[in-house]
This record gives sequence, structure tokens and C-alpha cells, in this order.
Amino acid sequence: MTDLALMSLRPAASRAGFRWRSLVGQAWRYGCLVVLLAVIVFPIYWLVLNSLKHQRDFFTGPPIYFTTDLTLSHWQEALGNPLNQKYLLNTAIVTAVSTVLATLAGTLCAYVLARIRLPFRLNRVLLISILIARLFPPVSLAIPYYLLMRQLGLLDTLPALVIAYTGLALPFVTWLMLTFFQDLPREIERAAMVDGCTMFQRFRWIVLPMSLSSMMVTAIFVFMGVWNELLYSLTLTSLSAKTIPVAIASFVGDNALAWGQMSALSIASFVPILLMALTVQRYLVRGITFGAVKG
Amino acid sequence: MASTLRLERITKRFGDFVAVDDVTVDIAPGEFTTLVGPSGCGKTTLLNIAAALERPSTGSIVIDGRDMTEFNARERGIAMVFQSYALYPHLTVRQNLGFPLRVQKVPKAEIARRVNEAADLMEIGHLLNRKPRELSGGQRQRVAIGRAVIRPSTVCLLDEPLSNLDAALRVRVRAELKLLFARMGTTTMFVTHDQSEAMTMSDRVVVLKDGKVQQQGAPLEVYRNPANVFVASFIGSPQMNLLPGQLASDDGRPAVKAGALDLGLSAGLAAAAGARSEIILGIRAEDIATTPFANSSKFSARIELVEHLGNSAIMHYRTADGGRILGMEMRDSGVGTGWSGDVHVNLDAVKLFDSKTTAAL
Repeated sequence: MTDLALMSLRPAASRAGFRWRSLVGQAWRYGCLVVLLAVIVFPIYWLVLNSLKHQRDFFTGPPIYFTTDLTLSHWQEALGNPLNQKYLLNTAIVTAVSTVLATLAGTLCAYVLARIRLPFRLNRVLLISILIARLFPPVSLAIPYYLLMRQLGLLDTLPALVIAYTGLALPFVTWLMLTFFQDLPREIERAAMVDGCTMFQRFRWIVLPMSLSSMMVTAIFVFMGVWNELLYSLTLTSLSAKTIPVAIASFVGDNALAWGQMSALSIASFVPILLMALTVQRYLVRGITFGAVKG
Repeated sequence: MASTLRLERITKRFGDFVAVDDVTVDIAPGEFTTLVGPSGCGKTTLLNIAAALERPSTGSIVIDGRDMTEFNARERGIAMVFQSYALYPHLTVRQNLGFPLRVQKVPKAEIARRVNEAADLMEIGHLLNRKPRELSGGQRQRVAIGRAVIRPSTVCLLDEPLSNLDAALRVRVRAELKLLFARMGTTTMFVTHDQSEAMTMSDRVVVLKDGKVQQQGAPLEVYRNPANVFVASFIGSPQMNLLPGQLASDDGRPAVKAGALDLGLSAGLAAAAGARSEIILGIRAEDIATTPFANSSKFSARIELVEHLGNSAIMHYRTADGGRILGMEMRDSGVGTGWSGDVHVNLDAVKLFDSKTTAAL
């Protein structure tokens, strides 16, 4: 992407007199890129390095920025620990289930809100309530959720997290998909009606395939949000339903700071997001432009 | 056997706005009927009502003698071509064509056979594996029509299918479409704002304005005998000359005076005009020329502007009192800008309209 943008920006330097100028210009552009890249890449490099350093190298006077003396022991400890394995699995289950639930339910809500005119200006009322729910700081709902889950006897279970995350993500999904459906040309659905589709067939065969890429984008945002979520996991779980962000945070203990394991686990926890982003990249690029470019 | 469609006393209100006002249209089996009118005249609303995309406020839709008001498009057996073509963007041309059949759960082999048939008919066989976005405007339109004609339908509705094509293509497709529907013999309702499409394609035109039917009839009949001033000005290009005038009598013979024009009236027209004094005079451009007609009257004018159409030319005349009148000359008439002299009016083709109701007399 970046390379392409650069190439199109580069002036057509066919004459020899322009060569120097374009060379300087290029050096300048690449210089900027390198700085930018360093800012973005360095933390990741630091994380990777820390996960491989020996314990003794963590607290040296000037920090060790580069070393070939590496070890996999932190990785073995972090991933070998059955508790951490369980937390990773918890996170995966909770994230997958709530992403699918929130995306599906939110898309259906949005479609109905975009296409059906409810009586008594209910559309407007619902839209505003969704917007308010979306603007609510999540922290203010954490305690109510805690009390609710205690009443339901769901504390420290995966369903508690799934319910909370789906609930939190629903307004977001609905709002995003609603703007998408409002932009979707209605004549296509009218054509489907004339071709004999019921409302569900219309949704299933025409609207759903057309909105797949925006659903993917929405799902990715939900996925990342849920995967990284700390507050609710901290509030609603204590032991068996703990998720990986809580586990990572708890490395900052009272009497020890396990940098190595913490780094290893952090990397292990962002790999799934990276993989997910790579697999749906095709949709992501298309989806980001879905509002701007039609067709 | 083709079906009949009857839109019976249809009214459609949106809040206080009356989009369609007590419209009745009867379409005979196999007839190609065009709803024509300026934008906002209710023609598309009427089409949507026929397609069950909208419900009429009052009135009924009768197909083959059966009241189908409460039925959906599929039950009515309606096929429709949309203005924007409304192809399914995620499906290939093949799947687009087959979609109406797939919804009706037609067996796969049968779908494949009929898709190929429709593709042959529309000459889009080589495009079957493409997606709509890879097609040109004309090709998309063919697919849209193919999708409409692939299944047997009672009535085919066309919503301005030519308006997105460029001018040259539009004239060609116009003729092709007319031939296609004549060959298939499907009952067809066509909506357009372009009077030339209405004139060239239809067996019958229905002229609408402000949700009301102004006139319906064969294109030439509407052209020759417009029911009111609106139809007279809307149908035909160049526009009919419409001049406010007064009825008078020249030595006992009935006549009409409009600016520089002083025309004797036939006995029939004089009788129709009755005791009115104010009148609107309507004369088509082709009935005003520099050469005399069999039964003509003349006035003097100067040619201010000539619009050449190739085989003929539109003459813009300016009379002594500043009035402007359009006439028409064949290619070799030999007159041009700046010419002045006697201009003749074909008295047999003069129309009179009531100055208040604007209805034809």
C-alpha cells in the first residue's frame, strides 16, 4: 500500500536535470518512513527481545538493546503453564462466541431498523437509545454487570463474559451496520422482491452477501475489542474464567515482575489478532472504503 | 396467451401529498403501454403500485380479470426492469439471470437451459461468467431485461430502462426493445419522461401530470388531437405553438386573431368555440411553412434562427409585433436566417383550446 502511494507521488523524472532533485526527494521520503517505522516497530522488537532475554539481562545499567545470547525458557514457562493455556483458551472461546453473536444479532437489528418503519417513531427512539448505550462509558456498567451476574450465579464463568461482551458490542455493530444498510441501494432489494423473495430470502441471498465485507470489518473491531478487554474480565472473573489480558496484568505482582513471561504471553496473545487481520485483509481494505466508494 | 392489466381508480397519498389521483389504466393483452409525463407526475409510483412495491391508498389492481391488489409481485406474476438495472452485484450474469428461477425452486438443469435461452435472446452469451461491475451500461441493461423475461410473466414493467444509456445507444436499444417485446407478445407497461420514447415505442400512451391522467390513446392520435394544452406542449418535438387569441368575425366569417395571425375558422371549429371570446390557438410547427398549404392562411414574419436537423430544419419566426412562432421546412426549402416574407398556416390542422380549462375544443 505505502509503496504504491509513494510510486504514484514520485514525479516523472525523465530528464537528467531532475534526477538529483528526485533523489533528494526520495531520500527525504524514505527517511521519514524509517523514523515512522522505528516508532511503530521498536516496541514490538523490544517485546520480542524481552521474551527471549535471560532473566539476569533485564536489570542491567544501560538496557541491552541487542544480544545474541537468547533463551526460550520464558516461552516454555509461560506457555507450558496449564493455567496460562486455560486462560488463552478462555479468551479464544469468549472472543469467538461474542464476536459471532454480536455481529449476527447487530446486523439483523440494523437491517430491520434500516428497512422497516415502526409505528410511533420507534425507529428514532431505538436509534437514540443505541447511540446512548454506545456513548456510555463501559466502566459505569461494570458494577451493575457484576451484581447481575452474581444474581444469576454466573460469576467467574465464560457465559458471564460472553453476555457482557455481546451486550457491549451490540450497539457498536448495530450502528456501524445501520449506516451501511442505509447506503445500500434499495432498488436491488426491490428487484429481489419482484423476483419473488420473501424478506428472509432477500436478506439471506442478496443483502447478506453484499454486506459480507462490512460485517467482516465490524467483526474484526469487535474481535480486537473483546480479545483485549481487561475491565470486565477483571470484574466478572476470579479464577476459572480468567482471560489472557488479566493474566498478563497479574504478572505485575507484589514481589516479582516476570518480564520474560509477560512478554512471551503478550506476544502469544497478539498473534491470533494478527492472523485474523491477515486472513480478512481482503475484506478490511474493501470495507474501510465502503462508505466512500460505491459499487 | 398474454394477460390483461387493469389499474382501477388508483389513488396514492403520501401524507397530504397526492402522488396518484384516481387513475384508471386498462392494458389489453400483448399491448405495449407507456406512462409518460414530467418528473413528479406519479408515473413511477403507479408502476411501483402495479409491481406491489407500494400499496395504493385506494383502488385495485386487476390482472386477467382477477383482483390482485392484496397479492405480492410474485403472485401477480410481474417482471420488472429497474432504472438502475438493480443487478445483484455479488452474482455473475449467469446467476443474475437464473435468480428468479432459483427463488421459485426450478430444477438446476432447467435453470441452466433457460439461462442459455435468455442469454441467446439478449445476445449476452459471452458475458455469462462476468460480474455486473465488469459490464458496460448497455450490457447491464441487456442482463436486466434478460432477468425480466426469463420466466413467464403476466405483465412486464419497465422503469425508464433507457435513461442511463448514452444518446446513440438509446435510439438503437429503443428499436431493439420494441422488436423484442413485439416478438414475445408480453403485456408491457413502460414508464418514461421522454415523449419521443413514448411516441416511438408504444401501442398506447398515457400522459400523466400531477398524478392525473391527461389523455390516453394511440401515440399518433394523442399527437394529432391533444386533449389539452399540457398534452399539446408535452407531446411532440418541437413543441406545438400555443398562442393566446381572441375569437372575432371577419365580415360574418368566424376567425381567430392571435398577435400577427388572423385565421379564418372552419365551420366545425367555429361551432366548437361557441360564444367564447378568449381562446388558445395551437398549431404544430410542421403546419407552418413558407410554402402554401391546400387550405391556408398567411402572416408576415422574419426568420430569426434556423435549427438544422439534417433532413429538415426548425424555423424560428419573429412576427412584426414581436411574437415568436416555430415552423418547419424540408431540407431544400432555400430559406435561411434573415429571410422575411409570407408564412403560411395549415388551417386544417389548427387546434383550439379553452383559455380557462385548457381543454381542447
